[in-house]
Amino acid sequence: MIFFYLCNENNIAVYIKYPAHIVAFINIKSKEVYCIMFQIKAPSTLDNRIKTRNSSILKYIWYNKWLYAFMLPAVLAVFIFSYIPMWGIIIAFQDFEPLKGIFHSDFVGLHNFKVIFDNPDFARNLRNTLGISLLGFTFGFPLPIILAIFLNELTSTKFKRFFQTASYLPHFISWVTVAGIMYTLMDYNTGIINKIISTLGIERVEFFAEPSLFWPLSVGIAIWKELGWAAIIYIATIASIDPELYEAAIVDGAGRYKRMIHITLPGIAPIISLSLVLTAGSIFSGAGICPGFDGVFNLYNAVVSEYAETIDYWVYREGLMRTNFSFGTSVGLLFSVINLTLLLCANKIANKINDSGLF
Amino acid sequence: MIIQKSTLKETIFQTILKSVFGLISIITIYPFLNILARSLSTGKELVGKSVFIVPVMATLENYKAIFLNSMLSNALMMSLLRTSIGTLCHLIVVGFAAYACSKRGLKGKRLFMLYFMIPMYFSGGLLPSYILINSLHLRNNFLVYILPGMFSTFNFLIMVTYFRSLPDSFEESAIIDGASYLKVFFKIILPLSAPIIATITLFAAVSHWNSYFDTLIYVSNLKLYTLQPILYSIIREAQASAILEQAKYGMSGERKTTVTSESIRMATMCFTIIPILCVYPFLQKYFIKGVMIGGIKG
Repeated sequence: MIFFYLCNENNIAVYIKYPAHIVAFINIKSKEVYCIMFQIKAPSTLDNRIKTRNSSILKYIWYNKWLYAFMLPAVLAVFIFSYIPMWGIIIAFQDFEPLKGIFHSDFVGLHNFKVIFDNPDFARNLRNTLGISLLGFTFGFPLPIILAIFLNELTSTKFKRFFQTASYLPHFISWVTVAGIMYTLMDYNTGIINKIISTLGIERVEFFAEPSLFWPLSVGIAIWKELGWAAIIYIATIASIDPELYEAAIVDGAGRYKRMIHITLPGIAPIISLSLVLTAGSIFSGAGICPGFDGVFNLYNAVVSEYAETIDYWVYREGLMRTNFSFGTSVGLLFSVINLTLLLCANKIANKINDSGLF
Repeated sequence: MIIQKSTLKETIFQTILKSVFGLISIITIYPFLNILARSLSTGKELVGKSVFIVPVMATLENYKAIFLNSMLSNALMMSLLRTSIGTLCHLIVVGFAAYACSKRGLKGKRLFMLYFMIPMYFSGGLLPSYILINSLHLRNNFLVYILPGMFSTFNFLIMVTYFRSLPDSFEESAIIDGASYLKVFFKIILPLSAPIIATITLFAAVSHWNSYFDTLIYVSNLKLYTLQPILYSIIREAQASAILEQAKYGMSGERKTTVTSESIRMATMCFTIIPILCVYPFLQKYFIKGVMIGGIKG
C-alpha cells in the first residue's frame, strides 16, 4: 500500500508499507527525493495485554484474571504442604508434647541440640552417613560420566538406544521391589549369587546379615538402580556437542583418547561442576549415587544396625517411631542447615572458578 | 555422524564396547527375569530350589492367587486409584501454574517463581510434615495420597521451559479475537503440549505407583493400603504365614496347596514392575529432553 501526504506546497511525503517500510520525501519543484527505510517492531499483542501500565493493580489482576487463577491451586498446595511445615522448625527449640501442641509446649532453646551431641549413637550414625556418602560419591559420581563418554564412542545407534532403555529400567522401580529382588537373588540357600559362589568353591555369604558388607552392598545396589538414569544428562549433553569439533580433531590427527579428553570432557565440564555443587549440598544425606533414606529403610535389619543406621534413618526411628518429635526435628534442622550452607559455599566457589554455579 | 575408517582396530574396539555395554545391560535386566521366572513357578516346587531363568513347573497360579486374595486385589485397586487420580490432580495443578509462569511479562512472576523454588532447597522435614498431616485429619484418609503430592518444583520447571518454547503467534491470533486465557489454554496450548504432558504423566504416575512410605506412616487402615506397602510388609515382616492363610481363603480344591508365600511375593513384585515396563520405553524420547531441561535449571 502506498500513502501520500502533502506536507506543504512543495513537498510530498510518500509512505510505502510493502515490501519494506519506506518513507520518501519528494520535493516537487527540485525533483529531489529523500528516502528512509526502516523496520517497525510490531509490539506483541500478548505483551500489550499483559503490560498495561496505566491500570491500577486491581484492574491489572482482573484483566489477567485467568493467569492468576491458574496459579492459585499451586500456591495453596505449596503453602500448606511446604511452607507451613517450615514453621514446625520451632519444635526443634521446644520440649514438644503432642498433647500440648506447638503453641503450648515449653521453650528450651538450644537444649535439644546439646542432647544430639551427647547422644551415644550420634557419632556412629554420622560415621555411617558419611561413609556411605563417600563410597557413593567415589563410585557413583565418575561412573555415569565414564559410561556416557564411552557410550558416545559406540557407533551403532540401535545398540545405544537398547542399552539406554535397559539401563534405566531399575530407576523406575521402587526401592521396596528392588530390595525384594536383591533379597531373593542373594538368598543364602536359593539365591543365584550364592549358587554361583558355591560352585566356584568359595563359601556362601549371608549377604544382608553381614554388618561390614552393608556399606558396599547398599551403595552397589544403589548404583545398579540409578547408574543409567544418572548418565542420561551426561549422554544428552555429549550428544549436543558440535560434531564439527570432532571432525576437525580427526583431520588434525587426534586419536580417540585425545578426542575424549580435549573435546568431550570440556563439553560436559559445566554439567559436571553443576553436579558437584549439588553433591556438596547433600553430603549428609547421600552424595553421588547413594541408597538414601529409601534404600536404607528397605535394606535395614537389626543385625547390621551398627553400620546401617544413617542420620535420616535415625530421625525416622528415634523421632517418628518413638515420637520424640523435638529430637527428630532438631537433628533434621541441624543437617538441613549444614547441607544448605555447604551448597551455598560450593556454589560460590564454582562461580569464582569458572562461572558455573547453580545460582 | 562421524564416519570412522573401518580398520581392524576400530572393529575390535567396537566389539569390546558392545560386550561391555551388553554385560551391563544383562546385569541390569537379569534380576527381573529371575523374579519373573520365580513368579511363574509352582510355589511348592520352588522351595529350596534355585531358579536361573526357566520357571520351575510353569504356572499362572500365583497371579490368580493375587486376584483371589482380597487384601492383595484391594491393594491393587487402591494403587490404580491413587495413580490415576493423583497424576491427574498433579498435572492440573502444575500445568496451570507453569502456563501462568511462562508468560514473559506477567507482573509478580519473579515473586511467584521464587515462591515455588524455595521449598526445593529448604523444607521443614519429616516430623513437622507428620504433625501437619495429623492436624489436617488426613490420616487414614484417601486424600493423603493426593493432596501432599499435588505440586513438584522439578516438574513445574520442566513445564515452564516447555511452555516458554511455544511461539507466541499461536496464542496471539486467539487473543486478538478476544479469547480469554482460559480458552487459549485449553484450545491451543494443551493440544500442542502432548510431549510434555506425556513426560510429566510418566514421572508423576511412577512416583505415585512406587510410593510406600507415606502409606506406612500415615495410614493404619489396611483397606487403604496400596500395593507397595503391602509388598513391603510381605517382604519385611514375615507375614508369610498370614498371607498364605489369606491366600487359601477364597480358593478351591487342589490349588490350595501349590502356592507358597514366596511365590506370591514374586508375583506381587512382578505386578509392581510390569505396568511401568509397558509404558516407559515408549516415552523415552520425551523424558530424556525433560530431564535435560530440568537438570540444567537445577
